[in-house]
Amino acid sequence: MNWLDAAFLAANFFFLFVSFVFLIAFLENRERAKKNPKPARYPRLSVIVPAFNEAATITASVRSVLALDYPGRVEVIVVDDGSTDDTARLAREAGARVIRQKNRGKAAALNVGWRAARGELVACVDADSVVERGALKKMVGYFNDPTVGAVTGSVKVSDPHSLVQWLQFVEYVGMNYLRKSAAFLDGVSCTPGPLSVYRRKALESVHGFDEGNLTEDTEIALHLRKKGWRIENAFNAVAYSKAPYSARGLLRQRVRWYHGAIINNRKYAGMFFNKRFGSLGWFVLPTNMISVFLAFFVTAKLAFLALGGLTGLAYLVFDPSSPGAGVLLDRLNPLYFLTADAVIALFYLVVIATVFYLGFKAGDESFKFTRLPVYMLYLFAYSFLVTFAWSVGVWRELSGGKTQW
Amino acid sequence: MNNGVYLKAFLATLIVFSAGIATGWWLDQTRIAVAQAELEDLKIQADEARLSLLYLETFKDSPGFCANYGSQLTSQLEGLGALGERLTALQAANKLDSSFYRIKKQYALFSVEFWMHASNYARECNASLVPILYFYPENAACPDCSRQASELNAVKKECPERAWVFAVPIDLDLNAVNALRMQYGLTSVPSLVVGEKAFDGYASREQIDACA
Repeated sequence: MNWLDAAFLAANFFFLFVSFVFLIAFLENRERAKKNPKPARYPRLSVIVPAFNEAATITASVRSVLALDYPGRVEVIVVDDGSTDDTARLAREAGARVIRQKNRGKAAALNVGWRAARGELVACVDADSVVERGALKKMVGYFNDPTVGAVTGSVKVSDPHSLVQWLQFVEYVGMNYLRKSAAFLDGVSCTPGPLSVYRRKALESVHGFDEGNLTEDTEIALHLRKKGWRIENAFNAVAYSKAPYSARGLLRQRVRWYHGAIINNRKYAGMFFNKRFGSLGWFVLPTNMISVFLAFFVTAKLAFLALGGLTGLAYLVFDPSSPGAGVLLDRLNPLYFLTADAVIALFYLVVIATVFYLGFKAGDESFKFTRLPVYMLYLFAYSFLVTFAWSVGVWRELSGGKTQW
Repeated sequence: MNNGVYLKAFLATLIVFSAGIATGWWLDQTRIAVAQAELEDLKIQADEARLSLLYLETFKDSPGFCANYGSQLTSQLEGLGALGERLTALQAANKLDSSFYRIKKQYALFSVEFWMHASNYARECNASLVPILYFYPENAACPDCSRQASELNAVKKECPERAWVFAVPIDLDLNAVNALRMQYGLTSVPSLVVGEKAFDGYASREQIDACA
């Protein structure tokens, strides 16, 4: 066995371990996965909706927020981030309080919003997200604990049409499962933009969102954790979010996410392996970063294997008498391709498939076998796209390049 | 921090990983067993070829013998080549147990033996057959070997009925191989014996000239 095979085995060991941590953390606590603490009271709550040229969706979005089932007082603040369309007027007509500002970006809009808010709790909702009616009620109980600074929910892809959206649909189901697992380990590292509720005092202690940060939702989560606030997750509080339709759009979004992740991991590097931050510092943050770099390697190896297979196939099709073709025919026999590292990789795939299956079940999504091609494509091909986006992110960070929000 | 989860996860990882390694090990052993069984078959064929040669010497001018022997030998040589490819693929698939050393050794001996059978047949029966002995190192660097291999593949493709390539690794510590190299005065790799001609170093397909 050469060192490359050994490294591949080691990478699989690592990924197996990480998957099992999340799997076991969820399974051990599955009874309370959907049992959220009963709210001691319903504090006044402000919903902030930052909007930039959202005329098409803002009415529906404000109405859905106003229709939320929440027994306490609720105000809806739409921060119009310098829209050139009718966003402000439509939002006001739909019943929201509207604050207008010159275009300064989402984080700045959120800051203007929560500073003007009168609520003790501040819910941030993306303008193109639709929040499930009972979501807030499920989330606020976690604030009974005075150390909780923010509560996240689950995010699902709304109304997927394209293949790229279906792949993200699968991915989001998995991410929700991992987020709940991380919450059981007290290791939540992101408060997603589509729906997160913050304690106003917590926002004040970190001076709000970092304006100009590529992923302000990750930045603020790490900042809150650094200040000692805990972050909880209400698994069955769901927000439906629009996912990029095309591969190009997805790639653009992911380069921003991942470049942002690198920037924020550097910014909060002091939290890594710091025992003050428990699982977050010892497990979630480091394994995230290690996973990325191992994924480069594993993906490269898989691409290399696939390339070998394709060359063999090309021989078989274009030059059936060549020795390469004979070897390929032999290789249809498992004895020729089932190497020890392939066996381990298969075992890993089974574990990952289990995680997703349980994620689907827990997230009340039916695991339809008619969608098997999508699941297979997700398992085997999606990592190439993600790894490519990570490469661009790493490259931009190393070369000092800029990523646009 | 919940250390129990990490401990359990580590144990689960260890179990699944070990199961994977055990399965991989079992597959490796199966591959070695399959290779050994195939070599057993080859051994019978080698015995057969030896017997035919004895026959040739005993009944020198028996009519029709050369044709029969030729077709028998041709099919044996085809089998030898195919087995070589399979053994290479099996060896490449063995990641944990790389004890293909004995199998390789045995296969190399068979290659040398069949090269001799082919040479004898070509001479005794005046057949238009060119046996090519190709020496390469299994475990040492050989910058020209891949170039030489593709050249030999081209020759084989041009006249598959005529040119027969016997690839023999020189670093398996085999007396027969060392003696052969001494016999032809070969010191470098790659090196070839084409019919009666020896090339100590790379030879192009034009130099090999086996198809004319």
